[in-house]
Amino acid sequence: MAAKSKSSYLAGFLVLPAAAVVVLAMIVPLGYAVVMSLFDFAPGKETAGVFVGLHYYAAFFQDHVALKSLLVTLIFTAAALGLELAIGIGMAVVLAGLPDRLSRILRAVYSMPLLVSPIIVGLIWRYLYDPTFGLVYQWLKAFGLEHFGGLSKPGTALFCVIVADVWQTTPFILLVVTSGLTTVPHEVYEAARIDGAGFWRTLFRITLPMIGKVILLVTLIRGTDAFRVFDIIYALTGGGPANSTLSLSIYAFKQGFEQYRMGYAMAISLITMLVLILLFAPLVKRSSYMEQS
Amino acid sequence: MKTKKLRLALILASAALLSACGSNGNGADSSSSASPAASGGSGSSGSGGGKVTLTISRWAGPHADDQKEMLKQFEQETGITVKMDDVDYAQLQQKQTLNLSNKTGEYDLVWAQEIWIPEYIKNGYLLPIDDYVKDDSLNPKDFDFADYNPNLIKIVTADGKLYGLPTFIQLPIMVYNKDMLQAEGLTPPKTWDETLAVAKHFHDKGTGIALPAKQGQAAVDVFTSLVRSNGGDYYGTDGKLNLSGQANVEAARFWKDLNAVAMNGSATWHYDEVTKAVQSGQAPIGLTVSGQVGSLEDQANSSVAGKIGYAPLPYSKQPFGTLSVWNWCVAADSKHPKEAYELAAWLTSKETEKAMSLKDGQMPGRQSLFSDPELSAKYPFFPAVGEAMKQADTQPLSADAPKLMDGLATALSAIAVGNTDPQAALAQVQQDMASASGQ
Repeated sequence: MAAKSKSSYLAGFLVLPAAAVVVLAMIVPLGYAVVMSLFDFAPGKETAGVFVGLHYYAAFFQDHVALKSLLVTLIFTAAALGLELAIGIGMAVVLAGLPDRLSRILRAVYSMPLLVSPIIVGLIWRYLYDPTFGLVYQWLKAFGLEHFGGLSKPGTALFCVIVADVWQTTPFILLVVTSGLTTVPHEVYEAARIDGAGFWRTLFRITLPMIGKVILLVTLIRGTDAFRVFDIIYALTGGGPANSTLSLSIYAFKQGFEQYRMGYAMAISLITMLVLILLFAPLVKRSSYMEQS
Repeated sequence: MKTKKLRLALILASAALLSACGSNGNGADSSSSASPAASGGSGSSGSGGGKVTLTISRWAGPHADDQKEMLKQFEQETGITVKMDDVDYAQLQQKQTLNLSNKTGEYDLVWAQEIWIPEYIKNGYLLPIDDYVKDDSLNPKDFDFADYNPNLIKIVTADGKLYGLPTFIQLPIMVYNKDMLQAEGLTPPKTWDETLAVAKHFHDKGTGIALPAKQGQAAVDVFTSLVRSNGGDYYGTDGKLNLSGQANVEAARFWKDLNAVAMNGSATWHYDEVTKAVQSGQAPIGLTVSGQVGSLEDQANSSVAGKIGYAPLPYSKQPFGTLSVWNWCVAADSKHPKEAYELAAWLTSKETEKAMSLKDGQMPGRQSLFSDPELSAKYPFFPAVGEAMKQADTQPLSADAPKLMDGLATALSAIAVGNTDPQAALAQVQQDMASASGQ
């Protein structure tokens, strides 16, 4: 008995540094953000804050720009994530079927965009999309589509941002799914082939279910990432035209650092986090359930 | 085995790509560096050996490095040593505020942007310098206080007291390609109607006017000039916000009309892209900012050097500039206020300002230099900037100004892309501002 409690003390002691890191690096800043979201203060003037309670949380739901940015963020996340998953998984499966050497080279080529920082991706695409200087419009002209709105029209700007984001982050899905595919035993495919299953049947009945965990994981990582999108939009459009690409993170940034309303910026960030939890908690739960099973 | 190979291939590919993308990133970075950030060498230029050492605070970069060279001359002339604490622009205000609010006495002279000035004065960070201005022993020869642009002096004056000396100004101006206009038999426009006519002429031929119509501050700065040139203002005579005034709505309509004859892509452009469009010879006419037009005259990189004409922004009744200006202000907690003022007066004297302008094209707060033949020969845009400064003011500096700027940026973007009626857009901003102040 005595020995047991001694060892559990030791265990507790050994866990202490890790626990301290978690508390200091995660819980304290989060707690600080929660507290500061209840105050009205400008950047660098925390001490001069005025307590306003839950005012900013209520203000968020009456602020039509904030609600629009929530909608923009949801559309962006759904569209970008959907496209990235479809293309990423599709490419991974196709590449896995190619000869080894070729697939390795192609995979490396396709992974390039992943290594560029999002802000640079934004700048690159801003010039690509430019109707006067850019490549995209030169191609579109060849098809008689030069009247495409691009980044200049509210109706098409978000779509253009999504395309740039898909270009950059699909390789991430491709890489992770590829590593997932290597875990599927060959025998299963051979058995399926002998049983006469075609490409689609094999894909939907064998491949996808067997790498379900991996897909769940990339959906979680990419989804939460997409919902917090900032840099690529900031570089491409700055949230315009007419707020049509204003994401929650950009709106929070503008409130905090351009309008000096740090309390509101904190509240928007926390609301972003809450929506994220609502959206992705079921997935996390499912992934831990799969872990157990 | 297979995963191992895959991993190896990926690592190799990553390594190769990292190097490729590294250079890519740098390229994109340097092309977009419009802010006065880039880090420069640090510290003091030590000569002189006088008893007094002044510490001055400003942003780092090539301009700071040029200034350090100039300061050596001041040290030689006066025996006062000057230490420059040049920090990144992004940290400058915070560092100044920390030192000034804690009365550390660290800074004798601070370089402050117009938007910081009201708060600095309100918090008692700055020393009134009226008595020093009158003391000829502290001023350089041929000082001529009346030569500072009065619009700039207004910005550093509060309750009848003077808190700084202005230098390094910036404001939006109009640029046009003289050859392209001449080839079409057009004369350089000045007013709204003339500008619209010229822009429409070129728009019919496939180009148009290059505008900084991206949702952001550039569009708001241009618009503020348009409003004021039409006798309008964001605030009524009673000090209350009045965006829907007739003059403001007319300016918004002009903004809409101008965007209808703008170059393709203007709705996503900031000043940088406008300047580039003019520099590459694609845009016959454009609205950009004075700090960038030097690149149009750069023989090495500009295909239009020597062919560009400059004018104040298009106006309805009279030209009106939207000013941004940096000021040398003596810190209230300086241990050597007299010497600090002496340095400010020296730095903003006609002679020093001219030398700085000749070095890097910076635009001074001294009116006489805009008609200086030597400067105008080197920088053909100087007279236009001087003209635009005759009637000029900053954006509103009130507490709710940042929110107003943001609201206007959104509205102007919506107007530019034809998404909304100008009057309705301004009314919407007015309404949002009212509900925000009621919150």
